[in-house]
Amino acid sequence: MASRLAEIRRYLGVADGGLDSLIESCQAELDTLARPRSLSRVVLPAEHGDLCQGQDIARHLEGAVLWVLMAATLGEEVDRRIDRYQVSDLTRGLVLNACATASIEALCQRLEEDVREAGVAKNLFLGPRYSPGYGDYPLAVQPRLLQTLEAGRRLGLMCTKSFFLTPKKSVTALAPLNRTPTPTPASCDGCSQNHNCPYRGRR
Amino acid sequence: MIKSLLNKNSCTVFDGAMGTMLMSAGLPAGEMADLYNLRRPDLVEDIHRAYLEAGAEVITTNTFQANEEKLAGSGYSVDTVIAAGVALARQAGAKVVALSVGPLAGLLQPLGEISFDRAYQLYRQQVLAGVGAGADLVLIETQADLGQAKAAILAAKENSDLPVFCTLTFQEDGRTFMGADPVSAVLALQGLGADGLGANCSLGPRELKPLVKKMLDWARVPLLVKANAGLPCLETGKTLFPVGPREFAEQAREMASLGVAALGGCCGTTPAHIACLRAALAGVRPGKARPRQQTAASSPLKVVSFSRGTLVGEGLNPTGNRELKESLRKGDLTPWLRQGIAQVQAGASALDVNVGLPGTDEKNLLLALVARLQAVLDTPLMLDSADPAALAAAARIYRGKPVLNSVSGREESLTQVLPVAKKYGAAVVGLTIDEEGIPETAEKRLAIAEKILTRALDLGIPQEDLIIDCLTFTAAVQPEQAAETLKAIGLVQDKLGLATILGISNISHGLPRRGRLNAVFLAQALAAGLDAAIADPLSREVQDTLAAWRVLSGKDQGGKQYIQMTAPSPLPSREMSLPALIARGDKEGVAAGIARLLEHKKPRQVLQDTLIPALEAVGREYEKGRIYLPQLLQAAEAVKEGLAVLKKTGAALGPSRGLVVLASVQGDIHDIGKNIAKLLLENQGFAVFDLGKDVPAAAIVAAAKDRGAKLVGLSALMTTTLASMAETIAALKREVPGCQVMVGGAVLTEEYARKIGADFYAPDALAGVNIADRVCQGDGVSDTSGP
Repeated sequence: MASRLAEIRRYLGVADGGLDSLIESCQAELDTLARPRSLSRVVLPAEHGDLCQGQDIARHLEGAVLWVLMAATLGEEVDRRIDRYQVSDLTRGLVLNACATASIEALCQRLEEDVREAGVAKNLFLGPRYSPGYGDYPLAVQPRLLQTLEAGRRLGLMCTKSFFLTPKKSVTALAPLNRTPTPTPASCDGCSQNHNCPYRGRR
Repeated sequence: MIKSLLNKNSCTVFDGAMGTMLMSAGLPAGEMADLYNLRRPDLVEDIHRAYLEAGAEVITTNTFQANEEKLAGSGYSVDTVIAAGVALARQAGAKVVALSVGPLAGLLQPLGEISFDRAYQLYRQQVLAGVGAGADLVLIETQADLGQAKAAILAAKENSDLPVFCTLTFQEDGRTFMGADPVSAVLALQGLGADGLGANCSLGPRELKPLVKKMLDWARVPLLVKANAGLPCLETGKTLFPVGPREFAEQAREMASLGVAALGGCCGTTPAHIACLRAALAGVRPGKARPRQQTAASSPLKVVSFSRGTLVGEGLNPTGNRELKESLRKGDLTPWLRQGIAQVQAGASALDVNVGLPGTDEKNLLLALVARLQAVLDTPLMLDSADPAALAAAARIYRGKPVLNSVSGREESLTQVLPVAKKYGAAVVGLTIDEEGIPETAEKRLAIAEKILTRALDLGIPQEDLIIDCLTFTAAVQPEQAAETLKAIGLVQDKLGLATILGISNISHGLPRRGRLNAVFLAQALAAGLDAAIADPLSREVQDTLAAWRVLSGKDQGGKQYIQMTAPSPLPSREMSLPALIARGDKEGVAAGIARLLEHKKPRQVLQDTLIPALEAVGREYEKGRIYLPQLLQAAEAVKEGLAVLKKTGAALGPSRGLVVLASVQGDIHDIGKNIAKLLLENQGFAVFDLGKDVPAAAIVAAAKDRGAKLVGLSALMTTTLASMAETIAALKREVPGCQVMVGGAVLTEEYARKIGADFYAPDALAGVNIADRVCQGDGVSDTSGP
């Protein structure tokens, strides 16, 4: 919880404490609302070349033996509650939103861990995940990615015509499975949007 | 054909999975199976034939995804894919062909972007294609959203004479992705005229059984279950289903004996599963289910029974509420949402919704309010209007089973309102009033209730869906009438067995200390057997009376809730100064503090001497980085609360500082940042016209033009909607020359703002206030460098 709390504060742009009780109460509320669901699928790069659009993702996946497609969501109830607070309590809405962002990130990390472990058993090493919207990887790939994962049927995860994921608190991503461990962790330097990102320098 | 199948003395057998079979024949995961109707018709026909040979009596077409949006870009039309799908089933030898209709490619508004009407049109197209191709029934499958399921059922009922089945898909926690549970699903959908309901996909028969039991408990229509062959497990790219044909069939047989009328298979099932199923069901008579006869309303997430002490909030009504009246005239529903949320937080189990106000468009306001309430609350609604057309429109889009308020004993009302209740499967409040007014005796009110009941039953409305309101006169005029009302409640229950409801507050009209009279009358009515009270949940007396009633009637075991409710609340922070209360965001404290100041100061003085300086101080702290956005927001919300107290005095607080139009641009469904900007602008005395999210450029232009706005603020969160923002700015510049544009949102930069032609870039909400200051003072100079 301590690191989660720190992350939530970072999303809120809050440096120190002072909001702990509000954050904790929002987190407790979130836990009653979220229905975390996730799935992954390992695919052969040769069969899914259409998912690799742009230079950044190509560099990211370079040399991978297999790709892992991932999707995760907290479910629609979280969106509805944040919408409610847009009317009745904006502050709470803002904090709940930050808690939800931290939660979906944590859910992705758990999913990554599962995939990583499964890979190790087969002597494959999972590289960092990469999502549509990072660098020059277009959001327009979202429908194809969701379809390949059958995310609509299996997670209730879809996207709008502007490629927003619905439910909103959701993530899709790709990650490489390599023959050798990935030497460097993800860094902002490798991202073509690094001049333009409010969360720069997070890792 | 299918009706005679369902009426026979054994279970009807549907077929099994199509997708699973196609995949094992080489269909890549994620490809649209429907296109195989045209690309590999031989394969599809063979699968149908295999299921027929296995003993399936109904064959489901391979058209699950064949709607216009999912087929877009495929090169095939809905008609082509569906015609081929029905023809293949027929060619394989199917006697009964079910048109498979799956969910749409996105979520309905407001969570997604598909409107209810659009959903209806998409489903209608499929249904018409199916009818044209000669399908025998419509099978709406794998639905997770009651709104979509309702649009699909209505599209099928209104555009064909075919029997309609609808099955939902539940997750392991017993709810659909969109939160609906088996009971709320049955309540919402069975009244729409579906010939059968049920469950398919996601779960195996073992996991589905408890959910099916819950459905059987409430369903008046036959149930269809198409389970998966167990819960899928993933093995490097391959999906495996663990339940074999024999186990599948055994589980299915148990469901049949519980009362399920038709069974088939979904993902992972094969002709072998269906063959076993057919054999296992031979000679099994479907069990006889006895659905509950309980008066209830529902939302997708909540079912509320009307029985002994249900509280229906009366607050969503313009009568006697100036703020709600004014906002209705302006078309601003936000105060209504706030009121609805407050009523629910105070304990209302359902909300009465009445927007009837002379000079306004009641039907469209009711539609808009119902949609917006359902977007933020899961409390069932009672749709309250004297206009049957408004009731029908709202009942149509309502997600769940609504209550209509009301029908009366008048002939005109009976002929207009009861068919609406019947068509949409709504419960309906029956008022004991007729052409001659409200009778003065309980017996005559009973007679009217009986007349309404007879007419409802004639139309096929179940008895439990009628709730009688015996009506009350104000005690100030006819005190002796209170007893007649109470007597009528007892009579309606004893003689007709109907649920009762009563609007409590009318009793005290024109008398002082109304809360006390209301509370005593509520207690009397409950003692007389009243099921549901329409009252003010925010009234302390009503809360106390209901809490006490629950203890004394054994509903609150051990008085736990009562004790919790009466626990002392923290003392109001009376000794804290107003600026300190504002800084820590203490809304009640600020409201109380302002009220005290008003005892000896004028509202405008309080505003200028206290509220504005406090707000400015908080703003300075924020700009210096000593406090952060959440604290700024807390303080701003407290100030807003204080402003509301000032506004209630009716005193003029000074002229508005100017009008700002705000919107999230088309395609963008995020609005937190925009809402923060709105709050800060309003607190600073600007009038804000908030168009909401996903707003087309034309609507933004029209609003700016009509209202003569000098400043428009646009928000966009993702790169994909920046194009839409650029278009909106171009349109504004072209058509509203005097108007300047500020932009904000996570992906924007100053540079980009300049590139797309914005006058100002607002990196945060406070910057937006500073921009508005400059523009509205008349010295707004176009400048993308921001304040």
